[in-house]
Amino acid sequence: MRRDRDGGPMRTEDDLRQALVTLERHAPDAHTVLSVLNSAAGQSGPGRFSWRRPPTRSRWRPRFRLILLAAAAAAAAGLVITLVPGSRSPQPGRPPAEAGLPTTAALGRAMLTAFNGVRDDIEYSTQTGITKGVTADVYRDWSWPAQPAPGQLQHDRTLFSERTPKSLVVRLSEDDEVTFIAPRTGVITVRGQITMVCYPGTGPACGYGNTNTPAGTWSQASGKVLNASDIGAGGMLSPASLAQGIASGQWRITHRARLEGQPAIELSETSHGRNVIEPLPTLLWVNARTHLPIRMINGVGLATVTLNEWAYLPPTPANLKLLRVHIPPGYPRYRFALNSAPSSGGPGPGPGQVLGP
Amino acid sequence: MTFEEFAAARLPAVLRFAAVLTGDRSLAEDVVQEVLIRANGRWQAIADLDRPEAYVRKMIVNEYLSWRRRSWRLVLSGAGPEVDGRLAPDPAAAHAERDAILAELARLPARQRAVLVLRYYEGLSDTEIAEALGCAPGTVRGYASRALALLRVEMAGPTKPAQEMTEEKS
Repeated sequence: MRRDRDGGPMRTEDDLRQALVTLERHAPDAHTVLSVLNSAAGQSGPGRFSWRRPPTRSRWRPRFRLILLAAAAAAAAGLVITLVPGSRSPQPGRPPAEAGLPTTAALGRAMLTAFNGVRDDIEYSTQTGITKGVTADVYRDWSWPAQPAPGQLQHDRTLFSERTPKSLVVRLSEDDEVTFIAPRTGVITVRGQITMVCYPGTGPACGYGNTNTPAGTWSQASGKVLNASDIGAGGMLSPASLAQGIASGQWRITHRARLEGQPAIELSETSHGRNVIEPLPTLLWVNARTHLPIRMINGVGLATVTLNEWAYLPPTPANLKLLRVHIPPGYPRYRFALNSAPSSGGPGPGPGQVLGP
Repeated sequence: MTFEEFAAARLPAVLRFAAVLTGDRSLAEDVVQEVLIRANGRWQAIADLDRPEAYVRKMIVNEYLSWRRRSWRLVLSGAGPEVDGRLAPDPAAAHAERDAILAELARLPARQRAVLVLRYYEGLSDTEIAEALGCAPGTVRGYASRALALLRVEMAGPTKPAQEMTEEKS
């Protein structure tokens, strides 16, 4: 190893390249960017932009401007996509529907009713990014209550696992637990508390900006949660939003199917959605009996696919424990300093220090 | 190619570039939004170029450089998070080193940082970087040389400052 005149090791150009690539994880969400452009363009602009959520990382992650970020944990079990046996891709121009299928309006209404029925349950959802058949990352989310009313305390937990660049293994990266008061419709900034655990293995820290929680530690703080599109049940990927889209004709019912033993109705997304300029082929399966969503595959037939799945759990004591992060034994707490962070977004924790476990 | 088609196809890559260039998610978002708003206004002219994306990236570089001049924004602070090597000595050592590089990178002057990102992330030649920044190739090499020295990065090839190094005795 070469050393400089002070005796420190010299880095290589490859070290620099690799460090730069890690900054890609800070890339903003394309949908958020285009949402702002839409606002700038205004209703009378030359045309509204649109964006199909990117095939990976499309699930919301709490965005803590100047304050925290999150964490996660989870067994990196390989997730297998099981396409519905006999399922068919949507075919343009195909005659509509088998006999006995509901209309999209009726199905949308039934889904909204169904969500009201599980509003006090725990919504468990997963989102898996798959590239060329290999799992790239997995989000596992527990959200309770599933349909919070404005002003109601909401609990969310997210486990995030991802594949390292040089490995085919998906490894646990972050575990975060967020509690906040569900905002009224249209409010995207709320105050919340987050507890985060950052696991070593896929990166040096978990977080955004200068409030990262170092790998191998956990932290807890309160602050503003800013999320442009997807807080709680109001998000564009929430089942309620899906139901509204179905009711408004953004989906087409293709046929009945069976999915993991459940009777299901398969739908394909049409290009009718407002702001959609290049929809990815997307299929959705809704339980034909409960009218709750089961699975959605975004990017069917493409190299990059996103798989979303939903389930609803009763709020039993055992299930409620799923909302709490697990702090591994021996993990020290990382405390953010109380000084103000330099930003226009308001006071927040600056660099902190690691304390004993 | 319409602006919408460009955005649909290339925006994620452009955002990744902006994130690496700025080192900050919020700043990357702001810079790209500013650039896209301007680009949309004159997209027809940009679309007629041979490489519209290259032009947009050039706009992003310029926006980033002017942003840093006119506005104080949140950047990676100090030496970054305090990583206690006792916690996870093996993987943490590599992570801490990478973290240190990024923290030092964040302290570089904007033009030096831009040169490194364009050379080592975008893979541009010094001539292309000079074109993007509107300066001479020699100036680019000067920026790169100073930045690499600050980061203690040893260049492969004949231009390395060998007089500043000694071989480790093993």
